Amino acid sequence: MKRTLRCTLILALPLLPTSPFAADLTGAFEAGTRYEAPADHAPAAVSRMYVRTLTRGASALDLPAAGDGGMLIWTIPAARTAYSRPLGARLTTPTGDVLRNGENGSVARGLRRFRFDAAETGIDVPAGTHEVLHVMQTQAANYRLDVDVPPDVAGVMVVAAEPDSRITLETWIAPLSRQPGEPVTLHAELRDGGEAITGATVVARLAAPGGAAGKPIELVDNGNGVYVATLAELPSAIAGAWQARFEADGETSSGVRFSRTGAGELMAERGAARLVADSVRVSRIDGVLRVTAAADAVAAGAYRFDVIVAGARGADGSRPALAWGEGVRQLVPGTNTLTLDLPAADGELYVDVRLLGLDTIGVAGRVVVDVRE
Amino acid sequence: MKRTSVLTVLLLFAAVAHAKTGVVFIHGKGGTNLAQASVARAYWGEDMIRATTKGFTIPYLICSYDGTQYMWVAGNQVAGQIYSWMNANAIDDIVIETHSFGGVVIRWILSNPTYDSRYQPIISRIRWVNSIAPPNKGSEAANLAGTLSGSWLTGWMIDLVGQNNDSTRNCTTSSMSYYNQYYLKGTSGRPALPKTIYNIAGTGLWNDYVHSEDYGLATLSGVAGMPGEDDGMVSQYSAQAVGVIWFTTLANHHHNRRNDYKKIGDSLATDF
Repeated sequence: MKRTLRCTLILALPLLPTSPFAADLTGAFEAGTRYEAPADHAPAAVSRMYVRTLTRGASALDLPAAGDGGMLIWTIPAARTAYSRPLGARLTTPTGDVLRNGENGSVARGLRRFRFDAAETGIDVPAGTHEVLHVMQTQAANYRLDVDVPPDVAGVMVVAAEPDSRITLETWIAPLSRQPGEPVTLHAELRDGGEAITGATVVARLAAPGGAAGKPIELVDNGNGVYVATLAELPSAIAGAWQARFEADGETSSGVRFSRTGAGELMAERGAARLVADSVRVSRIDGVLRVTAAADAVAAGAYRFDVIVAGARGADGSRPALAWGEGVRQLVPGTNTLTLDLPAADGELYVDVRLLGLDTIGVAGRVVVDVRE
Repeated sequence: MKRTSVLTVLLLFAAVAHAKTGVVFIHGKGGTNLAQASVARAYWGEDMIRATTKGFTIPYLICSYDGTQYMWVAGNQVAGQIYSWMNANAIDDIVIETHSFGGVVIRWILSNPTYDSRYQPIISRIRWVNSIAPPNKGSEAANLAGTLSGSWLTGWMIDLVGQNNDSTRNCTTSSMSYYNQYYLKGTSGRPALPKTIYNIAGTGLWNDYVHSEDYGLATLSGVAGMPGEDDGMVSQYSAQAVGVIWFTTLANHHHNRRNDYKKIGDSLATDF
């Protein structure tokens, strides 16, 4: 199949309508493609785990389990250098069974201990030997974890996950692309299967790119499993990817205690330039669709002028995606006029105009306009 | 007119007949030392390179870039190497093989031909891309890395745990949602990519449990909350979000860049 496609592509080369070396690029969407507006927030992150921290002063934890599957307890030593010795965690189950330091457990006991090198995870966690305790089937109760935190380890991160649990925390932050001055929504949703969990305590902390987390922000219980907080501003004007960490603690309607930790992220834009909202004009001239807009730039540099053209709404409410175009523009401080010609399109149109940073990646602005026939 | 068309087709066939094919390997994220040629080569393993290039008979380039950087930084490093190599060796038919974040890096190049003057000449010579386990819609494992970063700890522990690097930030599901909407092509509702990507998603975890090598990935898969099937690092839905599904593999994220647990290199070699 791949070879057939290759031959087809080679034979189709002379039929390509546009020069690949044109300064601006334009194209038509494949028939049947539906226009998709940028989402207001990223897909919700779904969590069935929670994170705690142990130190030498507080080296024991009660870990609530939901009793609806297994539990993984991952201990991560935080030390100045890669910590290569096993930490030696001890786990006490609600029935009094104890997986002692040095014991590997067994399938028959329903408790097991594994070790692996942090590098095997491929993510940025402290280097060294990590340990995982596996409870094959939990009870809806607390499990006690004791860790002998060695003198050369500053602390231990404990991650408890219940991969099969019905209790989930879904989280996101909006808007995904946030221009300076826009409010920020922190959103969390707690479910026990199909049932909403109310009355829980949900807080979120925000961290600027590469920075430390701020103070906890309490989310308000809407009474339907949704918890929300709206902030008029971010704690600082730092641009880039801001992260949020959500912590939820509560009880289900059947009295099962739980904890969950979730995450969310938004992109705080620089405000380096903006599209002037009422400046966008779309005209059908000389067989092309000409889009013009004014952009006010604070920071000079390379930007990309992007346009996506969609058609009229269909019966299902969606729009056909028709054409796209893009061109690099060097903006100077002050007002700049941008123009882009796209393939002609008839009828009612919906034109999505964007200005994207190239010297520094980020969305400078987006404006949509309806064009009547 | 008809004669001209026939001549054009004949010339094209003649050009194809003289096309010089080469293969380019683009690795995934990792450490800064992936900018070293020897480390990048070891990333793939000798047997993967041998199998894909049919015993080293196909000219090849193993790209080496700093594995901690954003896709546009990595993209420029990769583009520089491909551009020099294809011109020096007169390669005009390139098959790209990528693993993990390498699939996002090549998609940056394919999606942004005007970002760098070398991008379009490279794109023009690409036949297609085979993308193994690319986090096209991000990776829940990268989200977890953010949750476990030092940002959330008290002051004295922040430095010990450290922060995520840029390539990990690039791969969160939120970041990829953002980039897919504005900068990258090929996902639903976005303009098509100029060249076809064939994706290979990993759906297995336990490839090497005898040596305990895969416990890290299995833990990650259980903790990070990856929906559906995954290879320990990248979910199937994410790998298959762009391009044409070629096949899936039971080789996990450690093994699907090598030619050991499953002979993926042998499959890649069928392109030549």
